[in-house]
Amino acid sequence: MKEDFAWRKIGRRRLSRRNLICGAGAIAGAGLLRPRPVFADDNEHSACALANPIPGGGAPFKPFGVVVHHNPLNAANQLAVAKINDPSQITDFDGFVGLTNIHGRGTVTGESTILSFRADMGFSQGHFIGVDGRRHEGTFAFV
Amino acid sequence: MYDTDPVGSLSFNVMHQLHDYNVHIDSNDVFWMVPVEHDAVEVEFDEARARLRVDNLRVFDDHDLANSLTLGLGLPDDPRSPFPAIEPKAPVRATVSFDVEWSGIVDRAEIRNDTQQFRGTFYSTGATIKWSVEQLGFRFESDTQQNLISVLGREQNGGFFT
Repeated sequence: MKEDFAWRKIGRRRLSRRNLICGAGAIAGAGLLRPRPVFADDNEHSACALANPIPGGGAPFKPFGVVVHHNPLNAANQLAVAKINDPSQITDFDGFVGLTNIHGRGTVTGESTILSFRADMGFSQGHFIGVDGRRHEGTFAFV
Repeated sequence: MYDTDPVGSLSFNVMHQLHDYNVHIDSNDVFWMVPVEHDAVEVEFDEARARLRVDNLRVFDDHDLANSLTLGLGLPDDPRSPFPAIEPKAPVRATVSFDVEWSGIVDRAEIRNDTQQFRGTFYSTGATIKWSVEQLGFRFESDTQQNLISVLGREQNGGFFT
């Protein structure tokens, strides 16, 4: 419970490990002693070129939760792909994008338990303008 | 991952969710994107084919989408809330491997969307996924599946939209 309370109290910060590695070293270590939400670029996947999110999206749990800069695919558009929203998560982007909405089932190893899954996954591969204002080439998985 | 098929409302699905694997939103608000090796993605766009293969990617298990999108706060037990109460859960580490393939043209369109500032050529395609996850005390491997909708596109958006 204590952990939950700590998790509840913390606010979202803009200082990421990526900033620490790639940015100015003067602020290194600031705030690292307390728990905080874990961002994607806090871990070993970090890369110096930070992309910008698409401007749109939604907040599925409004008024709670964060704004999600992502347009999930609507199965009703499978035969009408012209109606889709931008499937990219990255803006200022020029390249290939893939997105899925697959449902399925699988097995828990060592048990006979069958569980269901929904896979909203994809990729982006191409050029993008990063937060540094420069053109970059990159390949990203949407996981 | 669910203890029943995820075909109901968002509230229903969240109530039945057991695991939610993702790489988290980055500090610049980019949603669930992670850099991977260039050759993790293969695209034959004119054939409407693509493949995404990644092994042993470290991800987070947020337990459910509500905890993922509230950064572990869950949802309150509030009668004014349209959602069920969801207990706060901190993320735990997991490792996933997946092989996703897009192929087979279902539909094709040239899109120019001035409101969302994107344009390009898009295919609705068939798709398959084979994936597995491993975390402390739990391992899962996918088996059967159904593609509801999958899209492959060659697009320009934002500053590249003209």
